[in-house]
Formats: sequence, C-alpha cells, structure tokens
Amino acid sequence: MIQVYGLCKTYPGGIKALEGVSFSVNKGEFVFITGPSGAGKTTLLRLILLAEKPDRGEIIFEGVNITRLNRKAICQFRRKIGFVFQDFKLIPHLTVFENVALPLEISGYPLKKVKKRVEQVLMLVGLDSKLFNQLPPALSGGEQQRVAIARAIVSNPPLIIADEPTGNLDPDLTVEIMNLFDKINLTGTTLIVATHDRSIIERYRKRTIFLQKGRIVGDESF
Amino acid sequence: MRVFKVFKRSPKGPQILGVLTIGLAFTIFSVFLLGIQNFQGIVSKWQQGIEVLCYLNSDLPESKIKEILDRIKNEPQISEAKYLSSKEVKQEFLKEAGNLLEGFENFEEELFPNLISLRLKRPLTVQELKALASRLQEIPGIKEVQYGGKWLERVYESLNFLKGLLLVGGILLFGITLFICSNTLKLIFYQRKEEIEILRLMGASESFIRIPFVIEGTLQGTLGAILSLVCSYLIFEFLQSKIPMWVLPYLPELKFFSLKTMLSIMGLGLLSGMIGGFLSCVGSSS
Repeated sequence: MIQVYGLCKTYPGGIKALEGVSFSVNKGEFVFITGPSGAGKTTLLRLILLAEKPDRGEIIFEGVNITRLNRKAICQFRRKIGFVFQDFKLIPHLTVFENVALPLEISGYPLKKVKKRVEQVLMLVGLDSKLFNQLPPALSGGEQQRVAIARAIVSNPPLIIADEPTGNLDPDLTVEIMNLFDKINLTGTTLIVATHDRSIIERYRKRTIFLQKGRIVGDESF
Repeated sequence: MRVFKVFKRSPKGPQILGVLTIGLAFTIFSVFLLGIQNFQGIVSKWQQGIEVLCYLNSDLPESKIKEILDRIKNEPQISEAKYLSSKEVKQEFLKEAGNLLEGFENFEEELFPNLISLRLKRPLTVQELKALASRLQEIPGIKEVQYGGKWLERVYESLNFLKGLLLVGGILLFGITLFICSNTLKLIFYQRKEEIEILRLMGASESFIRIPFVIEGTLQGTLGAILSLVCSYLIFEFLQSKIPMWVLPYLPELKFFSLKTMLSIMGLGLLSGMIGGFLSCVGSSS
C-alpha cells in the first residue's frame, strides 16, 4: 500500500530529522513506529500526510508518487487518510457530531446520509449519544480521542495514521483506545501508529519499526 | 449552513472586537466625510450669495438702461439682473445700515449711483468671474463692475487649498480604514490558524476553508459600517445642538448622509471585511 524510499528531512539549523528512511507497509497491516523523543517519528508521519515536504526521497501510495502531487491532488490524497494525534486536533467550536461530519462534508458525501453515518461511527467508538451535541472542551481526554478516531474512520479511509494517540491518556484508557485501533484494523484498514510507549508494543505484538536519530535501526514482525 | 454554524459558534470576543474596531475606523472616516459634505454646502451657499454689481453712468435714459439689461440677460451665467435707481440704492443702503446712519436720511439721492445687481445661476470660479466682469465692463453705459476682486480671489484660493487638503486627507483616511479592517480580521483569523491546518490535513479545498472566513469577514465589515453610521449620526446630532444660534443664519441646512451615501459606506464595510477575510487565509497556505 505504501512504500517509502530514502526519505531525508533536515530542519533549519541543520537538525537532521530523517536520514535515508526506507520501508513499505502492506494493505491491512498494523505497524508501530517507535523510538525515543527526537527520533523522527512525528516527522515521518507528517511527511506521509504531506504536511511537510521531504528534502529527498519518495513516498509511493497505492502506486502514486505522492511527493510530486499538485495542490488539488494533495487534497484528494489526504481524503484517503485518517489521522489521530496526541492533542486530538478537534475544532473546539464545533460539536462532536460536526467534528466527525467534517471529512464527509469535505469529500462531498451526500448530506442525507451524513447523519446516519456519523451516528453509526460514534456508536462504534463507544460514545454515548448524549455527547453528540457537546463541544469538545466539555469532554474528557478519552472521549475526545474517541471523537478523533471516529473522525478518522468516518469516511472509510484505507490508511489511518496516529501520532502518539495515547500520549495524553491514563493506562486504562490507553488499552481501550488501542483495542479500538485493533478493531478498526480487523476491518481491513491499514494503521501506522507512532508511539514511544513500549508497553503498548509488547502488549499488541504488531510489526514495529524502530527509529533512532532519524534512521531505521530495526524492523521486527511478531 | 456550515458557514453560519461556524460563525454562530466562533468565539464571540474576537468577533465583537472586530466589529468594534471596524466600526471605530469607519466612524472616523464617516465623520470626516460628513464634515466635507457640510463644508461644501457652506461654501456653495456662500458662493451662491455672491453678488455682481454693475455701476452705471449717471443720466442714462431709460431706453439705454433697458438695452444694457437685455445685453446682461443674454449672458448664460446670469440668472437675474435687477436695476436699482439711485433712489432705490439710497433706500436699500439706509435700510441695511439701520440706526447707524440716523440723521443721514437727507443725503442727496445723486450721491448714490444707479446700478444693476446680478445673481448667478451657479457658483463661478474666479477666472469665470473675471471674464464675466470684463465682458460686462465692455458694455457701453457701465462705469464699473464689482464682484469682490482681490479679496474674493484670496478666499477662493484658500477654499481650493482646503478642498485639496480634505480630498488628500479623505483618501488617506480611507486607505487607513481599509488597512485597519483587513488587519483586524487577519489578526482574529490568525488565532484560528490551527483550525485551518486541521481542515487542510483532512483534505479540504481552499474554497472550503476560505468561504466561512470570507463570509465572517463580510458580516463583521458590514456590521462595523452600520455601527459607524449610528455613531456618526449621534455625533452629528450632538455637534448640531452645540452650534450657537447666531451662526445659524450663515449656515445652510446641515445634512446627514443621504441613503445612497449610507449604502455606499455599508458597501465599503462589506468590501473591506470581505478582503480582510480573504487575506486572512492567504498567508497560511501550506
């Protein structure tokens, strides 16, 4: 599904975030990317999301080199990816329902079907219907992350990228959220999850790519 | 629908601040405009009051006076020409002087000239007045033409300078108003940079991102302009009530903006808000 070749990224000041990173992820795979802080995990995910441009290297997604897309094609590509971040990235003045409905509105999903689909997904991530009309700041961290996951999966993207999705959650909620990802993966969705939490990696025993100082230092499959 | 939901739920503080700032900028501009509009009214009234006097040679027969009147009336810039005999001039003079000239009623009428008083159709420039005076001067029987001469020339020059100053000031003030509006909106929307980034990561097109911001800017600009009209009206009424009674006869009827001008100011508010809303998203393209 996704192939990464010789990806390099250097930030102003000469800080090398990634140096010649290459790997591939198959359709339906669940991959952890781990490493210490500053290893380049977030940069790698931001490059895949095309939130930044690599200095060198290529990223092939479903056979297309996405590093050479124009602005319009970037929009189309991003609609095929769901993202979940540690800080949830929910829009605070939109309700839970409206936040989750956004990807559908963006991709021009028929308005009549939006309500049904959003409610279905919110139920799937285990959110109480009483919370649908709440604004995100009124929710707990775990609830906000569920909303973010619901938003990531609502348009059935083939790939979900998550950057430290349990970084702000307590151990019990971490397990709940990871179980949710596992459930999503079982439906055939590819997942790339960046985490520095070794307990998660040991518990779920999925393929793990180890990054250190911008280089891949290990790639283990269980 | 999404646009109005976003507008409704956006933080109210910055929205109100935006409307108030735009309102303040437009109030300054509107009050300035109001000043110019009424100043022009005062100048026009004063110009319309300009009287050109043609002093006639003494002992002109009635037929000659009639001929002079006919020739004067042929001038396209003159709306009214009125002959005043020396007797009428004396009466008019004594009437205007009032008690000051008590005891002078016995003055000989011959001391006063025969004259023709002229009213103009529209206010003329000094050059036009000069040209008219020299044409009238050439009519046989007219001894002298008076229209204010040098004094009038100086007043006209001062007025033209003031008008130019007001025009430059107005253009500058309008530019500043537009600048303030777009920057206020830019600052407000900058706070929502993260929201724009989230939308971009979800694959939203530029128009999907911009339209709510442009509409919000447009609404804020329009509301700001309406607010400025209300403030200008209150300022206008206040200032009008403070004018001393003795000045009133010298002033034309002071007027607030016409409906057309008010709609134009609202249109400018709308336009500057729209531009501000649009510009606010331009700098944050990724």
